[in-house]
Amino acid sequence: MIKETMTKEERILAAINLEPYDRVPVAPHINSDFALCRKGRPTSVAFNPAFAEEGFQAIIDLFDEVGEWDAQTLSRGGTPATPNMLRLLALGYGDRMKYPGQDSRISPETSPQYEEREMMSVDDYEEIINLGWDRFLEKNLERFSRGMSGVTLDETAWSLAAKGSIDRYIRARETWHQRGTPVIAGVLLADPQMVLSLIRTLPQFTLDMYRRPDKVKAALDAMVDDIAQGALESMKAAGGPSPTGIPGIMISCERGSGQYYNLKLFERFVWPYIKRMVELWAAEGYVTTLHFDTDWTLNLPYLLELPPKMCICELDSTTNIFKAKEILKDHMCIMGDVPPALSAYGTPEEMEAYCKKVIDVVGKDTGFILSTGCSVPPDTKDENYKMMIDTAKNYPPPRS
Amino acid sequence: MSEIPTALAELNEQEAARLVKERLDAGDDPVTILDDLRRGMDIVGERYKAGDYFLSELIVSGEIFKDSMKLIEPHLKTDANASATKIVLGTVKGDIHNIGKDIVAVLLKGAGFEVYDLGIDVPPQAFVDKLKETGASILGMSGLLTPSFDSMKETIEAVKEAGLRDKVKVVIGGGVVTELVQRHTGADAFTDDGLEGVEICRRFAQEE
Repeated sequence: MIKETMTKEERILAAINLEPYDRVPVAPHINSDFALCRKGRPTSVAFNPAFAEEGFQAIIDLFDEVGEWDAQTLSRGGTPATPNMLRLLALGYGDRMKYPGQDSRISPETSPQYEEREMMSVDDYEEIINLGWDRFLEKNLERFSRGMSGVTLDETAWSLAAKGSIDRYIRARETWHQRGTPVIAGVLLADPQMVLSLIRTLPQFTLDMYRRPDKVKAALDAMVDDIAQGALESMKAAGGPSPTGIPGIMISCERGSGQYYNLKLFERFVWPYIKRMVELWAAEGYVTTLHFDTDWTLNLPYLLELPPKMCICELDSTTNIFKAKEILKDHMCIMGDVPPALSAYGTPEEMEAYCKKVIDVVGKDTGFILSTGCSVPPDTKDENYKMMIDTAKNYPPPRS
Repeated sequence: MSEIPTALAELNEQEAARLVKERLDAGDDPVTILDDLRRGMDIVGERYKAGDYFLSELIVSGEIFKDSMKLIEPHLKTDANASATKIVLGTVKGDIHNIGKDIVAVLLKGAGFEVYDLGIDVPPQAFVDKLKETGASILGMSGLLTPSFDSMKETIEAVKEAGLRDKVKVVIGGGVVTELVQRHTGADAFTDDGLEGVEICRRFAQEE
C-alpha cells in the first residue's frame, strides 16, 4: 500500500486543483442498486423511495466492508433534486422513467430505463421563449403530469421522494463527513439541450435543429439561466458550500456530444449553454462535474474555454480518456472510466490491468480521480469493485 | 448523378419529397426510385465514415428515407425486395431502449436489407420464432445496460437449442458493448456504431 500523506479531502482537492497528490484518489459513481444487489436485494428496492434509507445504508455497508473510497460523487448515490430538477424529473423522466419491479418489462434485477416518448410539442418552443423555463414549467405542470397514471404530480412517489431531497442530502453529507469522506457534488441536473432532447425525444429534437433552428436556439436562451440559478438556489438551501470543502454541482451531459452532433450544431445548440452554466457556478465558487456519457472526444478542446481548475471531466469509457489527458492535463481534473462490462463480466486481473493502464497515463502527476464509467452497474462483481479501489491505493502514479 | 441521391445526401427534405413525387407522377419504376434513395443513403454512410456526418445526419437522412418510402411503397410490387438478405432485429428482453435500434433499422432498410424489427423488450423465444418464420440469416440484438447482455446470451442459447445457430450470424450492439460482451454472449460480432453494424451485416450477407 502506498504511504498516505493526505486526507481524502486533500487528495480530491489536489486532483481538482492539479496539484501533486500522494496517490490517485478513487471515487466510484455509486448508486444504491449495486450496494443492494450484492446483499441479495432486487434493484427495484433501490429505486423505491420507501426503501431509500435501506439503500443508503447498503452503500455505507459496502464502504465499511469492501474498502473505503476517497469521495462520494453524489451524497446518496441518488438524486438530490433542485426545484428545477424536481420538475425536470417530472417532465423529462416522469412516467417515462420505468423502474425495475414497477414496470412489467423491467425485471427486478436490472436498472431503471428511460422510455423515449414525446412530452413536448413544436408549439411549446414558443411558450418557453415567452415565459422562460421556470414559468413554462409552472404553467404546464398539470398538462405534463397528465400521463402519470391519473395521479397529480405531487402525489407521485418520485416527486415525494424528491421533495425531501435537500434534507436527505444534508444528512447524508454529514454521514460521509463522519467517515472523513467528502461529497463532490450536491446537485445533479441536466444542460438545457439535454432537457429538451429528453422531453421532445432525441430524434424529434434533432429534426427540430434542422427544421426550426432559430426557435430551438431562442428556447435554449430562455432556459439556461433559470436552470443554472435553480442549481445555485438548491446549493444555498442545502447550506452553501459543502462542510467537507468541495462545493460542487454535477451536470449530466449525454446527448450533445460529437457522437451525436457535428461541431456546427454543437457550437450553436450545446456548448454555449454548458459554458454559461459552468461560468455562472464558477463565479460563485462551485466546481462543476461534467458527467459526460457517450463519446465527447471531438468536443474535448472546447473544455479549455472553461474556467481552469473549476471542473471535473467525468468520462464513461466511450470518450478517449487518454486523449482527454493530453488536451486537459493543465486545465481540469479527469474522472473515470472503468467500462461497465469490465465491472460486470471482467476478472479482477483484467480490472487491475485496466486501472493500472489509466493510472499510468491519466493519473500521472495529478489531475485524475479513478472511477467507474457512469454509475457502478448493479451486476458488478464484488471482487472487481474491490480491485478497483485497491489498485488506486496500491499502485503509485508516475511522476514527471 | 440523379437528383434524388443528392437531395437525400444533402439532407434536403423538401427537395427529396418533391423529386420522389415527380418521378412517381411521371410513371417511373418505383424500384429505380428506391435504388436512388439507397444511393443517397450510401453517400450519407460514406460521409459518416469520413467523419463529415454524425448521428444527427443519420437521423435526418433516415427520416427522408422513411418519408420517401411511404410515398413509394403503395407503388411497389410485393416481391420487389425478394432477393434481399433478411435480418431479425430487436432490443433484448428487459431493455426498452429504442433509439439506436430504430436508427439501425432504417439504415439497414436503406442498405437494401429486409428488416423484421421486433421492437423492444423482446424475449428469446420471440427472436427464435421470427428467425424460423422468416428464414432470416442474421440476428441483430440491441441493449444498453449490463443486465441486457445476459438477455443476449440467453437468446443466443435459445437460437442454439432451436438448431439455428449454424444458419444465423449474430451481431450485438449498444453504447457500451465491447469485445468482452461479445465473448460473454457468444455473438459473432459487436458494434457500438450503427453504421458499422450495417457494414457487419453486409459482410455477413456476402459470406452466405
